[in-house]
Amino acid sequence: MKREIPLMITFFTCAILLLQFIVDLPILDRMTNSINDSTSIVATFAMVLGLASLANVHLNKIYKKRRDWGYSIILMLGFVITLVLGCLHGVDKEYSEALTKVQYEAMALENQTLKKSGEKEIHNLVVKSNYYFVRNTDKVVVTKDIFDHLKAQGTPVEEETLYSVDRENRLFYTLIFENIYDPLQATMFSLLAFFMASAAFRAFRAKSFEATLLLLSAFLVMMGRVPIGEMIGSMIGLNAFFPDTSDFIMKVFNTAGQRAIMIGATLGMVASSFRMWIGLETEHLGRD
Amino acid sequence: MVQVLLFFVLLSTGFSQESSARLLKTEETFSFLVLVTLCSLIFYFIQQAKSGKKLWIRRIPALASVEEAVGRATEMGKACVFIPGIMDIDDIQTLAGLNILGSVARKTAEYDTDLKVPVAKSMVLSTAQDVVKEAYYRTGHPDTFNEGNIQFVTDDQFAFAASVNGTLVREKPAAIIMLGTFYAESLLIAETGNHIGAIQIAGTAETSQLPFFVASCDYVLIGEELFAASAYLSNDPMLLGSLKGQDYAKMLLIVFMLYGVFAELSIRFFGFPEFLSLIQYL
Repeated sequence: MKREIPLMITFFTCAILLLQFIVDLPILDRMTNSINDSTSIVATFAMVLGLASLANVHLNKIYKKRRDWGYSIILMLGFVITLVLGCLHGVDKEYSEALTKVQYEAMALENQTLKKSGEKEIHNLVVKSNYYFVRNTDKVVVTKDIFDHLKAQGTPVEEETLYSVDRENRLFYTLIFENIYDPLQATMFSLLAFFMASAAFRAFRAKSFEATLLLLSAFLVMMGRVPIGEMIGSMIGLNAFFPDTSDFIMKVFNTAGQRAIMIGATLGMVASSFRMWIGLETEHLGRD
Repeated sequence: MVQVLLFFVLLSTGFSQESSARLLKTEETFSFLVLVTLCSLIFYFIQQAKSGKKLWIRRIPALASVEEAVGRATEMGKACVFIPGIMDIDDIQTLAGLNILGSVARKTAEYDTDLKVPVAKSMVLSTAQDVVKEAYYRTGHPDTFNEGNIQFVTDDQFAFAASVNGTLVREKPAAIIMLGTFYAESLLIAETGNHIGAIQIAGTAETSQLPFFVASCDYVLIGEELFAASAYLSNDPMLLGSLKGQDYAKMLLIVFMLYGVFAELSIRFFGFPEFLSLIQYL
């Protein structure tokens, strides 16, 4: 039964989702929404399991002083500090977002109530102005000096006043995320450039006819994408040769290849989903 | 399976009835017809396989090399790392990866090789633990199963890449298998694996990441091969039948595409408008 019940749930859930895709019935929309909501709820519970597993693995490592257990101490410290600070101060997604006037008024009202009841106001409002130079419907942000200059000339410009909040938990957010998390993430992402160079070096060695073709097309695409390519082209009298060739390779060969893979992959996805739906593929369900 | 076909037939008749036109989303008619055709073909070939007909499936080198990779790890006395992508369990590529994890785990259990599975989503963690545990139990090696080897790392993309890279550099596994959804972290992990000299098998349906895998890995499952992998490895005739159905669906699509090209050329060069209506419909 351990396998039959998940199979039945899979079958009926998939049937509802498929029906919702083609049948216009409000009850199916509601059922689909409920299914999506329940997925989020299950994922939240699973998150606790994940964190418990993480803590269990690393605490065990520290306790038994296994190889590289020092890294586990750093991990557990980061885990506990972030967790404690997060629980104490929470995460405020709106802290840096500009508020509309309506939100500002609502917040002002809330603060008045807090004041009357003798409680401390939690919001520090930061009022700032943005200046735009308006061309057709596009807006370009300009400094106040340019804005004043354009306004004096009679050019269409707009001023917008924004209200943002500087909340108490900003310190936590700034410390952990802006000063530690973001730079670390940027570091990892920037490593990609070096890895890309080493991978390209290996891939572009002209060892066979196909590899030579790859090298040649990569050279043409690269020359078409960098300013120096256009400059070299104009020096030898072929102004748009590199950009045009690069576009041709990307639009024709590259797009054709990508679409072929995508069509095949989509068919594979449908077939795989169908196999799971009818209970033919059950490996992911684990134990009997 | 018969119920599934009946389900489709009933829905198809709904499309043809005038009274049902308001009930059914007519804008999805074509997608639905494609789905019905594809599923019918798969169903037909599953039935063929069930009746005992021999079906030939071409050799997929990347999958044939799974045994080689695990064998190499065993000979070297090192671990084998399996990464099922960075997306959650609701992603079909993750599920495809987990389906292959079962086959890999059975091999590592037979050879008594360490299998490490770092995961980026907690829902994938519990599924992966179950899949590996089942594989170890099925091969008669429940004592060698170590739950701590299947570990939740983090759900952040680059933090996950950093952690996996750290593990690879410190532990130097002999084989790395990456099957699932990968984004920018694909090259970070694959290049690190290449630098440590591990045999690498990768597979994804993300077209933007495939060139990175091709450049850094020994074997790559491209697009649909990832979804065919579990059927290929299991050698189950019914699953192989579904692959055959998928291939025929692809052939049908190629015919449609050729028709589209022919019709477009006919209109452009000879001005045959009769092709236009079908093209516009498609």
